[in-house]
Amino acid sequence: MKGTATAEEAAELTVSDLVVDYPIGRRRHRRAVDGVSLSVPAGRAVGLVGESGSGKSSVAKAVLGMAPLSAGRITYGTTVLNDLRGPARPQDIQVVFQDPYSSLDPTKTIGYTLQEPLRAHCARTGRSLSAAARDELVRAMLAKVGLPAGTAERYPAQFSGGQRQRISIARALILQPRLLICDEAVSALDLSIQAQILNLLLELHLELGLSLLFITHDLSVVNHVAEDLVVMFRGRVMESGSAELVYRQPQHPYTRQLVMSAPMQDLEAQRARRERREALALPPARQAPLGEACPFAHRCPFAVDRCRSERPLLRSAPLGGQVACHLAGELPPWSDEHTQPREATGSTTSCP
Amino acid sequence: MTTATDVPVRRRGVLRAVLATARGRITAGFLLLLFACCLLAPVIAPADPLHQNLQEILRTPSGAHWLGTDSLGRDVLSRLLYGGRSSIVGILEGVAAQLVVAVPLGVATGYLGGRFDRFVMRLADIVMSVPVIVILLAILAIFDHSIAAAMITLGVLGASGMMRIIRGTAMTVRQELYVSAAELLGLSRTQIIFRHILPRCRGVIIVQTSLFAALAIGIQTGLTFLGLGPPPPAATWGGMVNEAATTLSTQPWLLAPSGGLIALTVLALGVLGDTVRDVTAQNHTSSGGLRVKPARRRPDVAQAPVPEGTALLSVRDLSVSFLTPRGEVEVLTGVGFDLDAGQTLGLVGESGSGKSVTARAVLGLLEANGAVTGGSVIFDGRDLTRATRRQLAALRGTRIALISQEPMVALDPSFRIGSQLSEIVRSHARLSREAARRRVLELMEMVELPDPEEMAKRYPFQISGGMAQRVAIAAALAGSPDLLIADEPTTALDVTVQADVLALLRRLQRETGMAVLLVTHDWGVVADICTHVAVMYAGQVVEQAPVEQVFGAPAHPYTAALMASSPEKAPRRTPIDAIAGAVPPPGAHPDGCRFRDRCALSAAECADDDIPLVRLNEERVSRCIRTELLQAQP
Ligand SMILES: Nc1ncnc2c1ncn2[C@@H]1O[C@H](COP(=O)(O)OP(=O)(O)O)[C@@H](O)[C@H]1O
Ligand code: SF4
Ligand code: SF4
Ligand SMILES: [Mg+2]
Repeated sequence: MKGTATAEEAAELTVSDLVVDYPIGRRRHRRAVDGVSLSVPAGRAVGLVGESGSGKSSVAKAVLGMAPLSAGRITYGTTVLNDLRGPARPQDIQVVFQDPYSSLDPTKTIGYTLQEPLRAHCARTGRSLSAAARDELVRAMLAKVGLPAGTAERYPAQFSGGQRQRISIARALILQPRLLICDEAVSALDLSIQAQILNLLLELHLELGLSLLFITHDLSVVNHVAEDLVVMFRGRVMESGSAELVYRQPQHPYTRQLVMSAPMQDLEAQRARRERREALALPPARQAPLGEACPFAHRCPFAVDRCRSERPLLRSAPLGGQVACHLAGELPPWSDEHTQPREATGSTTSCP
Repeated sequence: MTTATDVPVRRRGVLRAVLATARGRITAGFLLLLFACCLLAPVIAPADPLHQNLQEILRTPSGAHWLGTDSLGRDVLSRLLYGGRSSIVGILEGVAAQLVVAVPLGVATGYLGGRFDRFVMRLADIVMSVPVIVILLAILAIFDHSIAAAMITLGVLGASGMMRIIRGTAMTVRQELYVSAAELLGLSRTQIIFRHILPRCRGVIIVQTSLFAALAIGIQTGLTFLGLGPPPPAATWGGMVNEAATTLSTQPWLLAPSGGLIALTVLALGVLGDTVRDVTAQNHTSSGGLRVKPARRRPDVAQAPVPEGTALLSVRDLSVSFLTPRGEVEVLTGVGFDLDAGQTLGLVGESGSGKSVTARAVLGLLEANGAVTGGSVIFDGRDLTRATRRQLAALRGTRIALISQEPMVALDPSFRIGSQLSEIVRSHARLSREAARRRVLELMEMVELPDPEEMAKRYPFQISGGMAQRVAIAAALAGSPDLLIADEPTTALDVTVQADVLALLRRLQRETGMAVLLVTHDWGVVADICTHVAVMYAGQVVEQAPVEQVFGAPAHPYTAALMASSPEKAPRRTPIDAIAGAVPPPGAHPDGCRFRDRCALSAAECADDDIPLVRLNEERVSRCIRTELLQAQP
């Protein structure tokens, strides 16, 4: 693990066997998360990927106390977060959402938005902080996220999406949290602005030892940031492991499909990916399986009878990491030279 | 660091915004004046409201009695002022009662939700269903004609309506992410209610209050008219109307002061409520609710230059302006490119660079406040910028088709997929119902929609986004177009679905030979499907070339910088080569090269003049005077 000097007060976030059901109508519910376990060790960057509706955001919401928990346990260090709401929750965990527009109160200045948590924190802990000290903290935080000091007097309407995302990050960091959850935090941004925000998040992570739970549907983004990857599909974990392993040697048919579908910014590489994908003639879309079956069986080119009657459990995979597939280790070998590292970064994984 | 706007505009409070409008000033001024006069009645009233003078009954206005006298010779103006006093006090009591009940309950039910919410709403339903007039009559009987009791009762009974509206607003605000953020930062529920929920409810509270006040005046007048209020000789507005009614045949004037004032007051309250509603709605939209007129259309100068070459679509020197709150701004400046049958041209660039406006201008589909101010769009030898609205409409759907990022919005939620497609098919060719059905199924098979027969029976909300995009493509193909314009067709889709849709587009293009103009911000999509690229920045094309050349070595610093911004291009967990700053808003770009303040290669000469497009080879142009430096780089 990347040990950074300031990580001593950080703690590990663990989610075990989480189930989230949303009520729909009377006495009916929709299961968004179905037995998910993952952990974010102190100071580590963990990525959560999957397509829309796979339950990624619901995992985040459950950790943040914003989703109904049907089962499971969420702990941060020694604190059980399950039923903690509002001020009782540790403010060590903060979030940056996708929508830069609904994230800021249009009726409040940026300065007010950033000072508010400081005031609430002082009131709660009985500490006093002079107005000048608060102003100074706000100015320092705005500078840290790359915004000019004059920002504090302005209203959200005067900022672009990328700038609002910086302000949201500043607000999330103002109480010096140890874990930042980014739910599609860069997905609504242009490539160039996305790069600026990714650089900022990485810098905070690497320099302050901030733990990251980085949620996105974009493989290239998550592969850039995360050390560990968790791949979700229809509320379940399909594959998890070190990011380099999962991205370069995907062992689950769904992860492979994700990697093959992401278009690459290179003519040769993209042509190769496309041809591989076309060669794996996918079965025509069928009804998604319910109950005790592999949730991916209807879209899996390798599915066998057993896949439609028995739910594969997440277990250790031959190359490392964990995979929920009956055929783990028996799939044709994966070779996509374009997912290989661009150059030596010093990090090595053992892939045969 | 660039900011979205240069001048720090302060948000205006509701009150100030209301007073900024003429309606607001007039109605608020009138109500304030009335209020002050009535309160000061003992000081300013010219006479005792109860003083009778039987010598001077039923007089019309005069110097002594500005508004005349009534049937007992009392001064009408004085009675109006004193009567207004009791009316206003009654209304204030009613309003206060309503606010005390509705605001806390509305905010609490909306923000907290759950069982408490259900209980209160059940109660509110019951209250809504009681007959208000019967209750009021009972209260007046019990409390000995006390208008105060009646108004407080009215306020409490009327509170359920206001509560519902506040609850609705509070529920909307609760969904806002900043409320979640505040909760996570340790703010208590009370703090959140006072700081974030209530301020957003202020507008609806004011609107509802003024509407209620107008209603209360009506009801109060009605009650006193019926003699249910304070007994005569006390002055009340309703009582005065009643008196006027009895002498209507002998002195019609008497109805004018009391009736007119009541009508004016009710009207003023209603208009004030409306003004507040408009103003609060505007405060949350960026355009400020400005009504826009189309920009000037360019004068019809001599014939457009004869199109060079034989491209299917050739855009030349296209300029587009929009009329905005800040005046007319040019969003496209001299945009040009060529597109041939079978080719796919990717329009690439950051948001705000003009990609979508270009696509819409080609189709003649600019918003009402925009217009082509120069240049031409030559499609198959015809200049579309000179075509009439009807000619354009005939082209769209048949020879040129469009698919957009949000296929769902193009589909009517209340009709089945099949019937919508069938309508489109029949608008292109006169077909029997049965022939149209066959053509629809054929189109649905063409776009690989599974089980077309069954799919045709579904409603739009019953299909996924990827399916909806296929339906939209099927609709676009119905007229066998020569040119398909696709504005970010896969941006809203999952990668796996995006890959399927791109594969479909590629196959259809191979089969039909149509040209595709594809707007995208994703270089991966360009690499996958495009044959040519036009990179746009701040309303200009800065580089255009076949994909092989662009991916081989970008010839414009912006193209190079944009490509380098992709996380794919940087080693894992190291800083990406991000372009500093952001795209300048239209009209605010620097002189000379528009990319100058973000360009790594810029030099003094880049600021001197507008940068022309430089032709680098047969197929490639770049809008940079230092492009050879770029190609020299490794
Ligand atoms: N508040 C809600 N009520 C009902 N269903 C919901 C709600 N939020 C999410 N869902 C459903 O839960 C599933 C998972 O959603 P989500 O966690 O948002 O996925 P992701 O973040 O991967 O897009 C989806 O099918 C979605 O429709
Ligand atoms: S369990 Fe079967 S259906 Fe599921 S991913 Fe593995 S091979 Fe495919
Ligand atoms: S003209 Fe100058 S500023 Fe503009 S892109 Fe070329 S080098 Fe950069
Ligand atoms: Mg999500």
